[in-house]
Amino acid sequence: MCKPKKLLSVITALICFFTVKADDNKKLLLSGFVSGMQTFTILDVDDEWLSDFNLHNRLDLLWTPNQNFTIEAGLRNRILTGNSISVNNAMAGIIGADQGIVDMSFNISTGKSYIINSTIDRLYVNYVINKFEVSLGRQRINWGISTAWNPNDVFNAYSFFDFDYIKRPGSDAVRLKYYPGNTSVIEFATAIDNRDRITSAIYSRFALFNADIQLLSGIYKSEDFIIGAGWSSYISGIGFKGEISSFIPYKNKADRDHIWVATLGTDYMFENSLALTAEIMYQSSIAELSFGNGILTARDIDVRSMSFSEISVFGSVSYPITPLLNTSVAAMYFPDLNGYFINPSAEYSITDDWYLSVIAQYFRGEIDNSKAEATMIFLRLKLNF
Amino acid sequence: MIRLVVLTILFTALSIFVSAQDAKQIIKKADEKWQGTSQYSEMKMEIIRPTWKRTVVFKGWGLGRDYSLTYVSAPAREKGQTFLKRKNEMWTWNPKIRRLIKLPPSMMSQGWMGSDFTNDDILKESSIVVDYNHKLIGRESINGIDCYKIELIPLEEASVVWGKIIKWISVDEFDQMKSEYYDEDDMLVKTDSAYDIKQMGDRKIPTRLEIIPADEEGHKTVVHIIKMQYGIKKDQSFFSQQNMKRIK
Repeated sequence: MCKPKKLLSVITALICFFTVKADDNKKLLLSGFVSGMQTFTILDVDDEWLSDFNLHNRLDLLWTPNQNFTIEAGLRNRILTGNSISVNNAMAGIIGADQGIVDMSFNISTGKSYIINSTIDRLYVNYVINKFEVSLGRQRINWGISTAWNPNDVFNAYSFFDFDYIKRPGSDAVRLKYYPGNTSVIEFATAIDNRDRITSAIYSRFALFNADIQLLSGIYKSEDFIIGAGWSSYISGIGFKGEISSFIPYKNKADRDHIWVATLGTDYMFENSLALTAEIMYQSSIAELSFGNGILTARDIDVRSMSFSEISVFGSVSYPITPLLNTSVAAMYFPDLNGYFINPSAEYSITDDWYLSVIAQYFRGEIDNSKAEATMIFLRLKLNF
Repeated sequence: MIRLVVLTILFTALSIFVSAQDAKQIIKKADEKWQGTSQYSEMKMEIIRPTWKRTVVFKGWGLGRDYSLTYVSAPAREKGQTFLKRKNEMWTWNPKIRRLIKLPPSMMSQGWMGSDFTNDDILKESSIVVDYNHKLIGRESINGIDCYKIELIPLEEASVVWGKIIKWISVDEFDQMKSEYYDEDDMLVKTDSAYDIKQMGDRKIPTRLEIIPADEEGHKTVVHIIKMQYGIKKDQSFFSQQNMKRIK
């Protein structure tokens, strides 16, 4: 997993980028953040708590040598320390694993209680020829519309619980885009993962009758045909949106079912910035629940089975108590587990670029007929640059 | 005698008509001078509160009142976020999660990124020329500059958030030196004042605007115009979802 030479050459290349015309901000943009996050994981309040501290840094580089050509690179550096690592020998393997075809996740150093990891999660070129665009390399392809679950987001499904990684891993992909109009796009994308599985789809998004509509069709992880649609619209300021995908197996048909996943959601923001969101998801296949590696869900989230229940319900309320202090509570209900998830959070803007967050995640439900609960508390200080 | 009365009535009617036309013309001239038919701008906005201050830097392209594209350059957390308006539809592009999100028209009246500015101010949904009846109600000096004082009452069918606006337009240069915005109950909501007239592109315009909400001690939003170019050569196809993701 540790490939210091390869890493060194990548870092050298990144440093070269920095020094080349670093003063010309039109051509070279550097952004990112540094954050420190303390996490407590509590399975039983009277039992031992797991305490972790993660130092997290992100460097995103956007280089535009000319108007039509861009290179984007994203480097995620983490120093993970604490009990979650010392109690779980598999952690280094999980952190060092890369979902893409090219392994660009490097464990620089590991010990009983720490892991130092650098991952290149973006590295792609984009070329524009008038209304055509080609991107090649590790990139994020986001076709989602809904808030909590995205049946149309076939390239890298989003885990709502993993709030500390909003950029998400990239896909190793080639993507072609054509913009037939000012508010429409037709895309074709093909990605390959670390198990040589191919996801390939054609996608179209367009504005019609004051709504945004999207359609997609292709193959998913070399096993299913996929057909999907989504929309987003507003009626009297109330948002209505939804996504639906159908997965039809063409390989291992005997073991795999034809699956439907659909979401329906609504949102509204009052004039005082109080925002409400509600969403419901139906899926005909259910995800395995795991409490592994300090995050309340499976890492490799599959669009075919994103939740733990046939029906899942999501609701959230967010309100800025002052312009500097934003608060929110999100909740999920999983009837099949007789369980629920509650996620209160508060974020305070200390200055333009420094943010302090307190976040809690509480889950309670029945797994294999026994009651289970878990609480995680996060305290994060973050500097954006 | 009757002829004289008729003549007087006619003359009075005519003068009212002329004054209404004049008021509209003055507003039109001021709006055209400030907006141009198309423009590119770079602005820094400071949101000032009694105990804190935040700064937002953005650039924008505009064509008439139907098309605009705005790029946020600071703060770091929002950098790269863009807003596209095409007629009555709006979208935002979040480069961090690479997602294009359709926005509701009701977002127009909300404070823009926490400021006293509204989306309507930035995205120019309503027009001070088309959506109002205008009346010249006097002449006053604002910071030593002779100004027309004009009252704007929204047309019934116009989708405007204000109940009334009073504008002070400079007589010589047609600059909007001061504006008072009232709600439907005739209560003052905010006051905009303009300062620092400088050459920007082909014309001289105020380059510092202060927006002060009524009844909120110590609150203000200051907009500094860093750059303004008029008559940029962009047609409506520039205001596209493709460019939303490309502009820097």
